[in-house]
Amino acid sequence: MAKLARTIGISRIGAEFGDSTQANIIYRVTTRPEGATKYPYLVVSHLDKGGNFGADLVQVRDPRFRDRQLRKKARSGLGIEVSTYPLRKMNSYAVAKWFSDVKELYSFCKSSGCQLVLVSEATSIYEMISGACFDSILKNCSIDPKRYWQELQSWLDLKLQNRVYL
Amino acid sequence: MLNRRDKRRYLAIISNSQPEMALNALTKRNSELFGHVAAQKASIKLVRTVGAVTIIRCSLSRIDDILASIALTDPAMVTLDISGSIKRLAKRVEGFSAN
Repeated sequence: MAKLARTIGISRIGAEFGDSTQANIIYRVTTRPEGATKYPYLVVSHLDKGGNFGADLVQVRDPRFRDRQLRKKARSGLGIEVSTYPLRKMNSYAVAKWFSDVKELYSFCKSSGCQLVLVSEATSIYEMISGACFDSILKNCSIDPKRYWQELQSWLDLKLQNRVYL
Repeated sequence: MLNRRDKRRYLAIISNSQPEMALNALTKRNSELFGHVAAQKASIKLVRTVGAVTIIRCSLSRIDDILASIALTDPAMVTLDISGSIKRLAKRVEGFSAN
């Protein structure tokens, strides 16, 4: 998957933390490791399961689910992750609504200093989404792709440079 | 007045289904999302298959709709590369198939 990612215009991918680690992969962990690590990581929390707002990234299943908890507790620098995976099974009406909801969520992120993170949640190479396809999805959500990628890169650099690596 | 033909783009995609099935699913999804008229104007065509890679052709003016449809189609498929010339794309795809 990491090899294909470069081909499709994605420089770094995220993956669940396993036994072995590879270069160019940012690992998703649920609890912050104690001490220095050999790999870059982001602490991920699920909003549906209570949501730990001390995490780097909060996963939102449904972009409409911008409840009071998220509005109140979202602090500056928090990443809000939205998956495009459910869209494959949605009908056109639901997809259009999703585009509109993501546009609103992006505005909320801008006003609160958070970072919107779109993910493919791919479990096989066929489910991966290329850089060009992500750009098209962003355009459909009325988000400027160039600006989005620049903001995401800055956010990621800021998150990862504060870690201690071996 | 000159009768200029539309500019086209060639896309290399891989899918876990047969090329014809993948193309049908993509055309159907594009119609659902962006309408039948837009889907007709996109003029999606199967060009050839190079190993596991399928090369399709579409109109340049509708490329964004097609790319979004590729990302939102079930069965899943992924765009490997885009080019304005089939010769160059086939060359790049051959390199991918060899790897």
